[in-house]
Order: sequence, then C-alpha cells, then structure tokens
Amino acid sequence: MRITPITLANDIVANLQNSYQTLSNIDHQLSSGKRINQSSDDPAGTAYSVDMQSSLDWNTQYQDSSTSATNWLNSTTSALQQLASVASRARTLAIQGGNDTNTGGDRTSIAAEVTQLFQESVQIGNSAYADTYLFAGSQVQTIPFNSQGGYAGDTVALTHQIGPGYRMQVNANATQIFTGTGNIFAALHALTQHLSSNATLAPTPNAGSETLALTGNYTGGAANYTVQVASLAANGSVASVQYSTNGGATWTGPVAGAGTPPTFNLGSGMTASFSNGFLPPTVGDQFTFAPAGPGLSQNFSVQATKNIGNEAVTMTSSPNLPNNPVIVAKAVQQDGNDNVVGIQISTDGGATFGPTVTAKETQPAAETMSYNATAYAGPTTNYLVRAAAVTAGAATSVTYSTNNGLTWSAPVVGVGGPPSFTLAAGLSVGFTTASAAVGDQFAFTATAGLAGAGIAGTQALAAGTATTFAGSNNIQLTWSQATQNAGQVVADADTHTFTPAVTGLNADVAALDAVIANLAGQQAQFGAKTNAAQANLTQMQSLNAEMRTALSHTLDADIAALTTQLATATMVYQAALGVDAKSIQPTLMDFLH
Amino acid sequence: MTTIFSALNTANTALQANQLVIETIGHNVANGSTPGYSVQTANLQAMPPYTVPSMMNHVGAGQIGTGVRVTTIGRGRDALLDGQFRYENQYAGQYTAQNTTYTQLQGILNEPSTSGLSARMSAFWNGWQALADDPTNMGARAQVQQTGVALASSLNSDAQQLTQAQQTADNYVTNTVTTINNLASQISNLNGQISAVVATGQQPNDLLDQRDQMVDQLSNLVPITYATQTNGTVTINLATQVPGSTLLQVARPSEAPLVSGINTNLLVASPMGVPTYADAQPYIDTAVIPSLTAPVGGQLGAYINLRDKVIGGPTGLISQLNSITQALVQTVNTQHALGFDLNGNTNKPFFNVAPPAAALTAPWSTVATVTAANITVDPAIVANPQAIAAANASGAVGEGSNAQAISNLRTQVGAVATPLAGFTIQQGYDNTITQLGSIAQQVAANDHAQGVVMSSLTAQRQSVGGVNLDEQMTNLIIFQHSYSAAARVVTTVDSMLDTIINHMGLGN
Repeated sequence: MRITPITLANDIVANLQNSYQTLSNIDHQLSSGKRINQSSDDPAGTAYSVDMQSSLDWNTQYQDSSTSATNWLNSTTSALQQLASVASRARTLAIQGGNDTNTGGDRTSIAAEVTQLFQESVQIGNSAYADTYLFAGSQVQTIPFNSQGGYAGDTVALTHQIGPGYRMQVNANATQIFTGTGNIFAALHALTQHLSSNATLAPTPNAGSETLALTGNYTGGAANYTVQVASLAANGSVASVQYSTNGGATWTGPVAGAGTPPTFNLGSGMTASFSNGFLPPTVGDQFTFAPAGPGLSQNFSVQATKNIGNEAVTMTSSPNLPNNPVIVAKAVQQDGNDNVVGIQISTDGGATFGPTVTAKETQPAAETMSYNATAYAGPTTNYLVRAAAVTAGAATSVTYSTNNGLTWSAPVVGVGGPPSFTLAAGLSVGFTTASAAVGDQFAFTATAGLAGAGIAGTQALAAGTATTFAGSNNIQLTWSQATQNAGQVVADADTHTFTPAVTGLNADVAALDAVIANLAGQQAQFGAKTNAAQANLTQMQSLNAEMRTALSHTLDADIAALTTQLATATMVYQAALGVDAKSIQPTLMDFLH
Repeated sequence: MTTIFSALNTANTALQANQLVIETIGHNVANGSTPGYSVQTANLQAMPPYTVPSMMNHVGAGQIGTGVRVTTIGRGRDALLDGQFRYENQYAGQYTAQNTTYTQLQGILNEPSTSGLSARMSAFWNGWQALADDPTNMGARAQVQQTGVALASSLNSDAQQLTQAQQTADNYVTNTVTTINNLASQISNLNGQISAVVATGQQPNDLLDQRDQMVDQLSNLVPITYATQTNGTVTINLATQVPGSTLLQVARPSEAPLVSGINTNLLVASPMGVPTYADAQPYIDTAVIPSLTAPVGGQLGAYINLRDKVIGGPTGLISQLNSITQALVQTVNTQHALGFDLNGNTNKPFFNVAPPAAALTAPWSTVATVTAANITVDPAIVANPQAIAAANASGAVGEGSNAQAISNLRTQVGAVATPLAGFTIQQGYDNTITQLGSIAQQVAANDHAQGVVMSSLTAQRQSVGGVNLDEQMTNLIIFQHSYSAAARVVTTVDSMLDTIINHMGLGN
C-alpha cells in the first residue's frame, strides 16, 4: 500500500488519540477511585451497584432501627426493674403491717409509705425515653398516668422493623403491668386500704352473750316481756335494766339491781338475774321471752336477742375510713314488706347517732294521693299510707302506720267513688289516678286543719330486697333481707356494730407475689427482646461489611492494576511521541541539496 | 530522410512535456495537505512516429519518434472507495451524534453516584423508617419532608434537563437541515461549472475535488445515494437505512433529487418534526418504506431518533421517568392516605402536582396528570411536617406503622395498576439506567469501531489520491533530469549545427 505523509499523520493522530483516551480512562478511574463513573462503563455493574447501595442504605437504616429498639427495650427493662423493687418493698410492708404488735398509728405510717410507693410506681409508669412516654401505648406525648393511677394511654403496640420482615414490639402493654386486675396499682391500692381501714366488714351481731335468769311467781298478764340492759356497773356487770311488755313501744324502768349478785325486779312478782357469757354485757342487750305465768317459779335462761330481725349486714368503706373507728348501724325504718329502708349510723360506738339515712326506693306508677284533714284535731303525726288491695288499678283498701312502718293498721276499706279512706277522725285520703299497685306508699305529716294537695308516693321494695345506705366517711352499708321472716318487725332499732380490724393483708402479700412474678416475666421477655435486637444489630453490621465488600468489588477502581496500566500507557504514549517526532521530521527534501 | 531540425523539435516536445510534469508536481506539492485534494498525474505519451519516406526502399530504417506530449492530467481517485467511504460516513455521523448525546444523558441521570435519583430514593425510604421508629420526633418528620422534597426536586431537575436535551437534539436537526441545504446548493453550483468544462473535453480536477469533498461532508450528515452523469454533474438523492437491509434506499423516489445538475430540491425543517421537502412532502415515502417515518442514518437520522425515541416518545427516557414518578406517587399516596397525622387527619396525599396541573384528589390511584416535571410534596406537608401521616389510627401519635408501611413500599412489586407492574420502583429505575448504560456502551463501541473503519478508508483513499512528498521529489528529480537531458539534446544538436554551419566546408 502506498503511504503518504497524510496517512502517516492520520495514523499518528489516531494512535495518539487512542493513547490519550486510555490515559484519560485510567486517570478518571484513579482520580475518582471508582471503576464505574457512568452507567455505560459497566451497565450490569451499575444496576448491581445501585441496587446494592440501596440495600446497603436500607441495611444501615435497619441498624438505626435496631439501636432505637434496643434503647426502648433497655429503658423499659430498667423501668420494670424499678417497679419490681417497688413491689418487693410493698410486700415487705404488707408483712410488717400484718404484725399484731403494730398499733393503728404504726399502720397509718406504713400506709403512708405504701401511698408513697404507689406514687413512685405512677412515676415509673410515666417514664420517658427520648421525649416519649414508654407506657402510654401510642399516646407517647401524653402523660399516661395521673396521680390516682388513672390511665390516659392506649394498648397500641409500637413496633420497630429491625430487619426485612422482622418487626419487633418495643413497648410494653401498660394494662398488663400497671392497671389490669391483679397488677401493681390494684395491689398497692388494696394494701393501702387494708392498712388504713377495713374494706368490707361483717358486724359483731350481738353485743353481749350473757344469759338472763328469771325467778319469782309471775302474776301479770303480758304475753311477752322484753328486757333491755340499761346501764353497766364499773366492774362490767349489769347495773340496771328496763323492760317492756308491748314489744319495745314503751319501757318501764330503769330498774336498779339489788343485792349481790344483783337481782332486778321486773314487776308482777318476777325477778331477773344475769350470768355472764363469753362476751360481757353491753347497754342495749335485749332479752325477749314469754313469761310462763301465772305461777312462774322456775328459772329462765334466755339468750340475749337484741337483734330481733335476723338480717345480714355488711359494711364497706373506701378508702379513707379513719383508723379503727367503731361503726354502729341501727335500723330505724322499714317498709310494708319488712325491708329496712332507713338507718342511723354512729361512729362513736353507739353514743350518738347521725340523721336517718334512707335507702333509695323506686317511684311507683304515676299516681298521687290527696288527703283531707280539715276536720282533723289529733296530734301532728307522720303518716305512712300504703295500698293494701287493688282492683282494676284502683286501691280498694289501704293500711297506714304512724310509727315509721314498725306497725301497720288493719286495712281501711274505701267508701264512695272515687273511694275515700278514713284514717282517723277528720282525716281521709284519696287517690287521683287509677293505676295503683299493692305496696304503693305515701308519706305525709298530718296536722290539725290541714287540707291536702296531691303527693307522690314511693313503691315498697319487694320482700327480701337488699338495701344499701351511704353514710359519711365513704361508709356504705348493705342490709340483706333474704332471711327475713314475713311480718317480723325488724326496724326496731336493731344495731350492728363494726369493729375494724386489719384483714386482707395475706391476700395482699399473695397479690404482690403475683405482681412480682408478672414483672419478672415481663423483664425476662424484654431482656430476651433486647438480646434479639442486639443480635440482629450485630448481624446487620456484619452483613453491611459483606455488602460493602461486594459493592467495593463492583464499583471501586483497582488502584494497583490501574497504576500499572498507567505506567504502560504513559510509556506507550511517550514512545509514540518519540517515534512520531522522528518519522515526521525528515522527508526527502531534507536530503536534497 | 529526416532533417537535423526534427531532432530539435523532438527535444523541444520533451522540454515542454517535462516542464508540464514539473508544474504538476509543483501543484501536487503545493496541495500536499489540502483537504480533499487528489494527487494529479500528468500522463505522458510518445508522439506519433514519423515514417521516413524513401524512394529507394519502401521500408527504411523504421519509424522515427517525434517526441513526447502530455495527453491528460489525471487525478488519483477511486470511485469505489468514494462510494464505500460515503456509505460508512453516514454511520460515522450517526454514531458520533449518538455517542455525544448518550454521554450527555448519562451525565443527566448521573448514576452511580451519591447524588443521583437512586440515592435520593434510598434516603426517602430510610427517612420513613426513621420516622416509624420515632413518629413524634419533629426532626424525623422534617427529614421525611426534606427527603421527599429532594426526591421531587431531583425528578423535576432530571425531567427539565432531559427536556433541554431533547430541545438541543431538535436544534441539531434544524442546523443539520440548514447545512445539508447549503452543501446541496454549493454542489449544484459546482455541477454547473464542471459541466461547462467537461463540455470542452477537459477534466476539471480541482472542481471535482471540491465537489467530492462536499459530497463527503454531506454523506456524514444524511444518508445519500448519488450518480455521476455523462456531462460530469452528480445527482444526489436523500436516502435512509432500512432495517433488515444493508443497502441505503432512496427515501422518496417520486420526489425530485436533492441535487440534480444545477437544480436543488431543498429540505424544510419544522420544530420537533421530521424535515420535509419544500412541497411539504415527507422525507420518507411510506408507500415505499412502510417500516419508517423518519430517516435512519447520518447525523440527521441520529438526532431525530434521539429526540423522538430515546429522550421523547412513549418509550423515551422522559416517559420512563414519568412512569417511575407515577408509580411512586400512586403507591406512596395510597398508603399515606390510609394513615393519620399528628392532628388526626387522614386520607391526605404525600405527593402532589405543581400548578398549573389540578391538585390530586382521592382516589389516590389516579395519577395520570403526574409527571417527573410537576411532582411536588403536598403543600400541607411542606407547610407543616405534622401533616405527615405516620400512624395507623387517629390520635395514636406515637405509633408509626403507616410510616413503616410506606418505607416498605420500596420492596413492593407490581403495585396495582401502576405503570411498573412486575417491578419495584427501584427496579424500574435500575432498568432505565441499565438500558441507557447498555445502549451508551454499545453506541460508544460503535462510534469507536466506525472511527477505525473511517481511518482505514481514509488511509486507502490516501493511498490512491494522497500526495507523497518523497515520491513527488523523486519524480521531480527524474523529470528535472529528463529536462536537463532534453536540453542537452538541444545543445548537442546546436553543436552539430555549428559543426555543419561553421566548421564544415572547404573554406576552413
């Protein structure tokens, strides 16, 4: 082939260009440190490295999530540990409080410490990590517990995704630790109550267990005698009694004892003496008996029967009943079904009683009673009127009581239409509507010359209904009438005495044991999760290293190889320049003269 | 019987012929580096011999040469090589244009890097996961907001630069048409001059060189077919590569050629359109070439293809980027709408579109108006990161499972009714990058290979038509000596005449 200088020049330019290109490529890779500087350098490698970089970024984020999860779990574990020590301390206090050597004052200070523990556990419940509350569910910016332990959070699970498809719940369910049944708040609360008062008390049903012995020759005609202890002597024996022959409506006495041991003259040739039983006599102890006279000559032995009714009574209080009060509850009012509907409460052992507390009764059907006392000249009297018989929704007869329901009159049949019922001279009542039911009750006070407008009534409770009374100091009393005998008078100042004593502490210890076991379980669970999150983090870190290596293999320039190539390319380039300089320069003209 | 003067005459032809040859050598040396110049050669031929008439002998000593003459001055040119060169040249133009543009496109998408779309997307997903871990942390919320804004801006910027690149390609199309028209006009002028010279029976070597040079340039810009007519003019038709055929095919046979004699039929460029002829006929006659609507080959074909298929068009980069954007907006908005923000609001979008497009409304799967150019983060979220819906229930401010669900969208394959069915968003983008890189790699290889082909063809043409100074010098010496020798012949004859005239005779 014929070669011309231009061919040569073209060749030289092309070859130098190639050398330059090679140098430029090597230089680019060396200066950037990357083998792939644009996607056309290695399209498959680019996709791989872009993908790998994305995975690597994600992996790094998983590490952040793992760290964050670990912090959550550690914080929660730490809170649970504190809580466990609170529960442990409370358990110690419960055992200490049950010790009989403690006085009420000691128990008060122990209760105060338990209250402090309660506040401490509330504070632990309000623990925060990085400005978020640990035990608030998803309400991480709301204080979860108020000072009473009321919960404002929720039970939403917070999860961290710490690996592909690996979601871990990092928060605790507060209701399983603090607020749920049998958890620490309830246990501490119960303990506080038990230390400071009785939550639920059964009464001391009868005051004394002395027996009454009767002697003499009874000449009277009374069918029943009721003897009541009226006062006690300094040595605790009975000093005086009073007696009633009409079921306690009126009393005779008190009668002081004579002789030693004292005997009491009950009248009509009958005398009584007391022999002490397990419980000492108290004022108000009653004994009811039917004298077997005339001709009574034998001894009677009568158990004290102060509580005529055999109703069961319980008392609850919560939470601030003063330490060791003696509560006496007295039934003073009953309805036509022999349910106790009014009581009085004494907080000084029966010395003074508060006002009558009534049980809530239901309203009868819309019905009112009118009364007419324009010709009434009797004393001012409280009347209770009750529908006794009803025909086609209208009362046909009524009964009434003038002693708060203790005794009721014989049925009074209505006269005329609408029927009018005459209760006493000049006093009559009528009903304005015709939807009456047996047991509808109406109360009013009759005074001389009174003219009556309509008054609403109350519905008598069904026989045997339990009634509940709320007293001061958060006392609540429940009269259970289930064993009441029909027609029996119960609200005759029956008294029930409640002597608070420390009970329930054993249950509290057991409850706290359960709380501690639960907390231990939760701690174990969170500890295991912490380990899992940390193991995951370690794994992610080593995976990250692997991925970086892989990415580096794909993306990074091989400096050693490139340096060698650079040396070669530079050498080639310099050689080409040298050769070209020599070959271009001379032509034949240089040799012509 | 010849006369002594005939020898002088013979020497004279030699002097003249050698002088002409030396002049040609001088011309060659002068144009040794002129682009497109072909080496010229003065073709010598012995003049017709003279038969010496004789009465005695009808066959004398023989015919006597009468000297030398230059018959033609030829040029070193190989029509076959020219054809091959111009065929390959349109590939060279095509590949160079593609290579340049693909390099630019890769620069726009800028992968792999720490600042490309992929890195932004990665940061965006990670931001969501960080938020899921700590949904009430305003820093984490701001992070999601800012990575969202960065992602949207990155898409906006890519879309804008791609549109710019498309506009640049269109400008190239217009400029290329202008250059084609200029060259066509100049070639038609040269056709006129050449035909005038050829009519006189001579060969206008330098005009031919100029015209060949222009046809070479033209062949780089656009595929052409050409034919040289007997009157010396060249007829040029606009052609195209046809898929499945290695031959160039005339694109619109029914149309007058681009250059025919002294006439031209120039092209008209229209913005974003395929150039037409002045009579509004399209470049391609689809009745003849049904598979094409635009020319393939040369710079013109390359830029039209880049503009309409690679950057624009339904499968172009802008469309691919729009598909990725729509998949992103659809999946993220759909999930975001399920969540609740710090103030208990729900059913709100995370991404939205910039005006003048109408703001997106539920259902959030409707994303037809979203493009890479107009995607934004919803103004409510830009205004206040509290509006980011991280929780899965109203008021559950510390709960981040919706944020986690959004973060996990990065692995969601074939989101329902998205344009990327079967791929994750990252994979969709990877595919775009890989495809672009693969083609760019192939184009660069093509460009390099074509450069080698062109070098080889140029070398071959140089081999035929290049000026070798050594060769010219050698010839110069040869013809200088020939000239000297001829002069010596004259001197000798002169001496002979002197002998005859001055020294011969009785008088001496």
